[in-house]
Order: sequence, then structure tokens, then C-alpha cells
Amino acid sequence: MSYEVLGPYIVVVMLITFLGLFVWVLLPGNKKGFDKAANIPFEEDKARDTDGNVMTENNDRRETP
Amino acid sequence: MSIETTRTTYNYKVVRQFAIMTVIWGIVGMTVGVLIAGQLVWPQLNFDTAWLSFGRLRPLHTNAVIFAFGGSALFATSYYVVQRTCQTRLFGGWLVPFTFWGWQLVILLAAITLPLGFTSSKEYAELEWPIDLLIAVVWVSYLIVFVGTVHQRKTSHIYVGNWFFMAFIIVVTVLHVVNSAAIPVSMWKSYSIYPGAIDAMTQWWYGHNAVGFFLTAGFLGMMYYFVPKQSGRPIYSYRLSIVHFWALIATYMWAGGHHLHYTALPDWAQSVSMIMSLILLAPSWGGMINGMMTLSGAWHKLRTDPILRFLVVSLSFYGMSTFEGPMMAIKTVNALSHYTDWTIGHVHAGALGWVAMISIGATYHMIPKVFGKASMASTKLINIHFWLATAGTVLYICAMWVNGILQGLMWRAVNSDGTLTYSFVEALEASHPGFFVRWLGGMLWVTGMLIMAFNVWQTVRSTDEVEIDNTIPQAA
Repeated sequence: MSYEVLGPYIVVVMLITFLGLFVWVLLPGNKKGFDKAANIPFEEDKARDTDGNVMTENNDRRETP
Repeated sequence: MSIETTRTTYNYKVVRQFAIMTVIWGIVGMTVGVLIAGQLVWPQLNFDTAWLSFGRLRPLHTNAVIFAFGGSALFATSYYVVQRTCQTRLFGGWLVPFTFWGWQLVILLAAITLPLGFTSSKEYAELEWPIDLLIAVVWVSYLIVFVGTVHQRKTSHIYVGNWFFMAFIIVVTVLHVVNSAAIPVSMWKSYSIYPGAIDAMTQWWYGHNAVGFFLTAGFLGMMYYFVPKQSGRPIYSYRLSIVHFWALIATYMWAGGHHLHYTALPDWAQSVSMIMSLILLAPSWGGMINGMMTLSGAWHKLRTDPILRFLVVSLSFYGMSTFEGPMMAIKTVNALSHYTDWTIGHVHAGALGWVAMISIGATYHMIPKVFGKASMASTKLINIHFWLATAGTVLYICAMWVNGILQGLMWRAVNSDGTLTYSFVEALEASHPGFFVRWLGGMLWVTGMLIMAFNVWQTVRSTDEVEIDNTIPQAA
């Protein structure tokens, strides 16, 4: 198989890959995971008690809109 | 005991080293830039020595600002971000300090060999083969450290900033190795293994992707961490950031040919690069909008926080220069703009407005945290630095727009008998005021960087200490 034969299909493969990417990104089921990922930079801000343990309540210092 | 410490704390030493060198190399690289900008206004400034001539100092300036200043900023922020978003200590043991000292050695060798006139004459890849080998070793070490750290992460997901950093490190490895392939004929002279037009295409495939991955993807990695952190809210759309990432890295690879419009490069290759450059506007603006919209509801913070101002204005310049770039890649526009000062203005809209501003914002954010201080010593000085940098950039790019269009029009003007209306020297003389304004813009920039150095020094030595937050969160 040469480039001459396969070449034109590369574009099609790339297009399908991109459409697949959009579907994956927009599927409602994936939203929760993405929201969680978006908050990774803030996980380090979780309040600690005096023993240095991460406290799970009231750990969100961000403002609400 | 020490083993216990290394397990539970982040490695901030290497971040501190690179952060300090970011400021120092910024001053050095920009000072060289101001000197050569001055030489174009007052040619006597080369002091009649070959070592200080424009042709030798210009690559020193570009190498110093891109690879020394920008490179140190990327090392510092990527090491900081990858540890904090993967919640794990840097992987690689002695390889980590090796990346710091190795990279500083590369910069030192560049600062010695370039003024001496040793050059491969490939733009942004001027360094000769022994230094190229050292760069390859240091860069692969960087790749091992970064990917190793991501691999041992405690978080389930790889944060989007780390995707951009990884793309930047991997692609720069490939670019450097392929473009620097050369046959050495002596210790300080080598010849590219590629012939003619292929060499030119390889060089600008490298050159444009150095812009796309070194100067864009790496700094977007910075943006995706520091803009949310400084504004106190998560990125506007994480879904958009994923589309942004894949679209950007898939498109940039094809755009390099626009540096070679109307040359021996085949016409079809020129047209492909023009089309791909135009498509590139979409992912670029997608990323810019994603960063900007992160501030929605928090715009009032800009009034009091000059660090956030650096980050947001850098995004504005990013948006502006990624609109200008595709426009200049259109062949008919390029016929006017190419080889003129417009190109230099475009590069600096990106390099000063985007790359330097986001690096400075990120450095101001990071310095107090990695040195265990409550905040930067002076917010007022950060604000002064911000206005000097903004005014300097605007002066610079406006001067270069005027000069560029003026030069382009004068060079193409022909009389009715077909002879050129203006000689080259006439266009050069007409450029004189623009050269002066550009030098002035550069002076503002260097002044700002000196203020930053003072502020950083005051912060590091201040006694306003807080407990350093370098503890790795442990799973409950």
C-alpha cells in the first residue's frame, strides 16, 4: 500500500477522529468527570486540621458567582 | 528522615532555581535586544567590533529571550504545575537538578559561541552541533522527569495543563533532533544534511513549530493553571480545553511553509501552509476565549490584582497576534509584509505581549509560594511593571506596523518605466523614527524587568514568612 493509494483517506480518518472527539466531549454522561478534572488545581487548597489531615467539608474557597 | 521528607513534600528547589533564572535571563536577553534595537538607530553602538555586530548579537538576543528566559519560565512553571496537579513529587532523582544545570550550561555556551560567530545559520537553531547534542540530552532528561511525574500521579485524571506541557516537551524533542541533523566538519562547524529547498522546508517546519509548541503550547499549559488559580475559579470550559488541545496540536504542524511564500518551495506546499494557518485561528481563539471567560463574574478582581492583569492582558495579546498571524500567512498579504518590520512587530506582539506577560504573571504568582512568603513584597511595583510592559509592547508593535507597511509599499513602488521608485536606503531612512520608538518600547520593558528583579529580591529576603505549603496531600 503506497501513499498514493492511502493518502486521500488520511483526511477522512482525521475528520472522523475529530467528530469522535466532539461526541466524546459533548456526551452528557462525561460532564461530571470533566467538571471534576477542571477542579484539580483547587484540590490542593483543601483546608487542613491541626494534624495536617485534609478536611472534606467547607474546603471550597472559591467565590460563588 | 530525609526519605520521609521527600515522600511528603514537593520539590520546590528546582522551581526556585528556574524562577530566579527566568528573571535574570529576562533582563539579559531583553538588554541585548535593546542594544541591537539601539544599533539600528545609532549604528556606532556596535563599537566597530565584530563581537558586538548586529548579525552576531541578534541570534544571541533571540536565543536568550526564547530559550533562556522563556525556557526557564517553562521549566519552573511546568515543574510547579505538574507536581501540584498530580499531587506527587518530581520523578527522576538526580535528573531533576541535571535539567537545571544542563540548561544553564547550554545558555552559557550560546552566550559565548554566538558573539564569536559560530553559527549553523538556521534561525532559532543557530547553535553548533556540540551544543545541539547537549540540548538533546538535557531535553530528553526533561521529558523523562515530566512524563515520569505524570505517570506516578495520585490524581486519576491528567489535568489539561499537563497535556499542553507534555505536547510541548515531546514535539520540541522531535523538532530539535530532526532539524539539527548535520554533518560536522570541525569542532564548531557543521552542514545540514538536507539539501536546498528541503532544508528550507525542514527549517521552517522547525521554526514555526518552535513558535507553536515552545512559545504557544508550553505557555498555554501555564495559562490553564495560573489563570484559574489567580482568579480563584476553574477554567470556563474543560470540554473546550480538550477540543482546543487536539485541534491546536493537529493544525500547527502544517503551517510552517508560510515562512517561505514566493520562494523555491513548491506552490502547493505554500498554499497548504496558508490554508492550515487560516484554520489555526479557530483553536487559537478557542483557547483565548476559554482563558478570558474564566474571569466571567470575577472581572472586578482586575481592578485590584495586577498579577491577574498580566495574565489577562497576555491573553488579549495572544488573541491579537493569533489573528494577525493567519492574516499575514495569506499569500497576497505576505507579499507586502514579508521581509519587513511588520514580521518583527508580529513576533514581538506574541513574544512580549503573550509569552513574556504570562510568564511574568505566573512568576509573580509562584515566587511567594515557593519561597514561603505571604505575598510579593510590593503589589504597587507589580502594577508599575504591568504598565511599563503594556506601554512598551504597544509602542513596539505600533512602530513596527508603521515601519513594515511603509517598507513594503516603498519596496514595491515602481515608476511607469518599470524602474524602482525608491532605493533601499531611502526606505531605511524612512524607518528611522520607527526604529527609535521601538528602542523606547524596549527600554520600558527592560526597566520593568529590573523593577521585577528588585521586587523578587525584596520578597525572597523578606521576613514576612509563612509556612511553606509544599506538603503533598495524602489520600485519606
